[in-house]
Amino acid sequence: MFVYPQSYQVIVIGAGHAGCEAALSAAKMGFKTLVLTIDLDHVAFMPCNPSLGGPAKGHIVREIDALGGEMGHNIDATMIQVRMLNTRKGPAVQALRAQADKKKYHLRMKKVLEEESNLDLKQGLVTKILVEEGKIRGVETATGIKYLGQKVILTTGTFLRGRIIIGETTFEAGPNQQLSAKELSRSLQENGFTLKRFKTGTPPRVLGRTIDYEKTEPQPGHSGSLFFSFMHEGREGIQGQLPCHLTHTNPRTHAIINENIHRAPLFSGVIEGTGPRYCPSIEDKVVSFPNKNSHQIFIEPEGLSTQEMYLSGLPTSLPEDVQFSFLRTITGLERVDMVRPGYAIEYDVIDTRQLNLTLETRHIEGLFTAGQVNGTSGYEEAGGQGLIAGINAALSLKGEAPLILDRAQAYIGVLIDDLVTKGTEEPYRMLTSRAEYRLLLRQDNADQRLSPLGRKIGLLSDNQWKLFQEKQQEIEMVLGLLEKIQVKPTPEVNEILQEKGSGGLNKPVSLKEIFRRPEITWVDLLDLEPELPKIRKGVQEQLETTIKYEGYIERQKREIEHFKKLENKLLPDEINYEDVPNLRTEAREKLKAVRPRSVGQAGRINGVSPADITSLLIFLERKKRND
Amino acid sequence: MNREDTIAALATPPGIGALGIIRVSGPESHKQVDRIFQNPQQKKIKEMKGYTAAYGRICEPESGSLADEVVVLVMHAPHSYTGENMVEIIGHGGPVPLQAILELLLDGGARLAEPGEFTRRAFFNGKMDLAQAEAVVDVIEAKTRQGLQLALDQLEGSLSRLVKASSDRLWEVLAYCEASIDFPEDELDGMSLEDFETYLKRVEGDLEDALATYSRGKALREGVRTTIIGRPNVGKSTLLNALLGEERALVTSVPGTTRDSVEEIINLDGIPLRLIDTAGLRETEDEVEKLGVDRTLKLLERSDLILAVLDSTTGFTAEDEKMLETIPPGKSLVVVNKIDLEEKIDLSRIKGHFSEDEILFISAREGQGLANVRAAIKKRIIGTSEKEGIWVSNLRHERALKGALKSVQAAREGWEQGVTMDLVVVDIRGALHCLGQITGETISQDISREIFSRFCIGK
Repeated sequence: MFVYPQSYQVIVIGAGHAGCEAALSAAKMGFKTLVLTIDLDHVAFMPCNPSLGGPAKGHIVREIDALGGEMGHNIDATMIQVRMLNTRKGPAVQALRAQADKKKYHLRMKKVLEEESNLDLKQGLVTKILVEEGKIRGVETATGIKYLGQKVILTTGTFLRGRIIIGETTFEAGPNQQLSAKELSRSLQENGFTLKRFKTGTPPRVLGRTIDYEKTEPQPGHSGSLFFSFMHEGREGIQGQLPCHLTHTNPRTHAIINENIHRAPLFSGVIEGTGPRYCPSIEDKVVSFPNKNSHQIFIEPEGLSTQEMYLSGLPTSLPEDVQFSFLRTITGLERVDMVRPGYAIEYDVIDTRQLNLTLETRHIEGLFTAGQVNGTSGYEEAGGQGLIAGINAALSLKGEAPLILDRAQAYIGVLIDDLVTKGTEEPYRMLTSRAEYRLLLRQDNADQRLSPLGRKIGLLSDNQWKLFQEKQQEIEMVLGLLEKIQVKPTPEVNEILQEKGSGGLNKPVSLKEIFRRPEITWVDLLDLEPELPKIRKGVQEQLETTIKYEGYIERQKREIEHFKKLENKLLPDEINYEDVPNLRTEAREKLKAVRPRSVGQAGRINGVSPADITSLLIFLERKKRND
Repeated sequence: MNREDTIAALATPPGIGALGIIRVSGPESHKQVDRIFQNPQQKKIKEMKGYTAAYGRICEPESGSLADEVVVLVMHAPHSYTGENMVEIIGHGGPVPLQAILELLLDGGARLAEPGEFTRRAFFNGKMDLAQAEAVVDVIEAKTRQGLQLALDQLEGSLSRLVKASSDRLWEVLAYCEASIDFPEDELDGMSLEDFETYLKRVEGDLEDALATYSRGKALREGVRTTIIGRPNVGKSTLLNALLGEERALVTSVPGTTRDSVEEIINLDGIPLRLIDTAGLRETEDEVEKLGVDRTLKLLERSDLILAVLDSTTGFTAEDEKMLETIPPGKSLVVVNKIDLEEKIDLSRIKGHFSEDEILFISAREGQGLANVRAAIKKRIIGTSEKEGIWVSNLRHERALKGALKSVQAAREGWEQGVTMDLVVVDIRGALHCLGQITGETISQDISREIFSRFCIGK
């Protein structure tokens, strides 16, 4: 066995969306980092939909950016269409969603990794983790190389014992028919990890020039300065956006699926893994919602350098011939050429209740896991975890306190708390409805929430920090002006207000009070007070939201104060739950398994009741008095 | 468990005793009691020394209406049972005044204490040792179990069906909102934004109905305030005596409940009828002549049930007409007496105001038709079927329903005014949170299940 001469401080297994963020953050925080990937031509690869963002997911990309991660920069540089979703549903749930040029996305991220001075990117299939006395020591590859490292971050996506299923055909493979990582699963089990089997799927790809677009409905992008990274705020919007196209399945499509349902691996027992409810295959939709005669399909371009098109809404593992037949029943796809069939993929995931909130495993010191191997789905969820794992690996090398985001701070915090506290029974997708304090976890204020933290841990660049500070100063300055400037109830003022469909004044009020009215926009304020300074759109948005929704936001802030009380009551690492009187057996077992960090987290474990929490508080109080 | 709230609860066992104590604890407890406490010396509770007492009256702060005469005992943190600012309000031991005091406190912002909460606070404020504290946990456990049994009992009733229906509707609205927020490009079947208002209004109506049963239930616990009204000699006393006789009435004196008279309670098939101002009745005073006098109007207003007696033998007089115009039809029954004698009355004149089952024919002297009177009273008080006879009787439930109603109203009004969905959802979640205190459902656990079971979602 050859031991690689360079020893590393951090080794990342996998170069997907989690692996890239993990590696870049550890390297940027000053640690010699190695990334091992099965295939260098698939760095930051998007094996499923060629898009990033949407509600909750777009929020996570903004959070990654606010902390100093790369995902926002990478999509901003490679997107070919962008939209702001949910604009009418309120600022808290608005979200960016972009179509990526898949190839460019991969190439740019690969280049960023290659250019990072503290980082080595190499091809290699990891077969074993090396552990000594409960501590991680390094990894071993299929070609006989031992890499030694102090921390290892496992971001293996869907590769662990990956198995692709297309109808009656199954074979061992990772996504897009890359190599499957069989032996690493065994190595993890030998080290005491409990693994579960999940399943996900992807739709067929078709050739663009064989689509009859005339029969479909174009879905163009939105114009304007729409970017994920806070550093790109105010920059001119991207030009030459490609449209997506909308079409639908019909009863003939469903008839073909129904006729062949006995050949569907999902129902014949071939697929054992648990799939996601929010991304059901078309055969699942047809069976579960028999009264629905039509399902939407979005035709999405995979990039500028290819004719390949992604059929969003049609993931399937039906046999290839069935896929071919039902595709041609769809309006606009009558002559379509399928170039890759859809497939299902089964893979091993780690039961995340074996992790701490830092994403370090409890079994093995120095081993972290992040991304799809943790049972999540989505590039954004993976990126967010990767970033946190990388940061915590680095902070632990520095001997500093870990970065743990809580449920009131970030979607990333909600995500990790859910995974670690409750585990997940299906591939976990982030939803805004999972966040208790949604009004505060907005995409417009991700920088306010997280950039000071990103700076403190040394990840946020000087440039981004400077921009952030300028923006905050501008917000404070303008807020001060809005509070100070009084508008008098003159006939001219009331005429302007009435023009905007707003009531007149009968006594002087501040501009802030007027801005509070739902019908009044920033532009309207300029009519009332032309002397107001010209400010960036990001600043306008943040001011508008904080002022208009002040009442609701204050309410959530009060709830957060309550939440924080139990969250800040930390449970000592050495606590022995056998010593805590009056706990019910179920609660005792659950607490022993999850080992929550705080009383607040303990309360969120399924099977721990309020009475158990009281017993726990009483125990802590007694301990405090005895000490 | 939040130790910054001010909490209140009955500290003595429910039921009738000589005295009853309500305990208030928390940072705002002095302020809360000052809001409703009136004292001849104008003493303020927050200025009183610890462990001193004062006599006074607990009144509704706006209307000034009296709830009870009380003695208050004041304690200052940390020198109290819980270690917090506390007040103990010692009132008359009937359920009526104690409940009234408690409701006034809750209206002012205090929270109903959870089982064992005073003791728990005492422990965390260092007022109690471990052995005592462990006993507390047992108490909590026991109380929770007891609470569960109560909840199960409630589940079988109409209240819970109604709450369930309301909460289902809210879940549907919430699932729709959440699905359309999280999956903005998916087609959502089964509901549309136009249905929103209809749904929320329906829930509002249902919650209002449920809350109405609370006052009905309250009337049952406290006695149905009943007034018998009519010209002299129409047979009011005979009717009363007939009801008393036939029902082998339990006659109780309840001093101190209204402060101005001695009332009688008769037991009609388990329904306590509290006869208001019966002294007046027995003296065959002409109540009708006094109609229009404030006191009498107030008396009618305060009544849950009015029995307006007519004399079949004398014809329909101007006084009768005046009486029938004055009494509120929703809670009145017309009793036509003396049907055993010659009938001269022309009933066509009142048929427009009262439905057929609201007009009853009796001969109080012969005991004829009394069963119908009894049945009509029961129906008016309890509702049409025996099975509907489960009320919101629990103060905790009443508070939860009120909270839910307030949130649903806020959601609907917001929606009508064009408030965005992300905010409307906050109120819908608020309402479900309140109802969840009755049904045991929690939003965080159930919302995604709800979305995926209702809608075909996913790209």
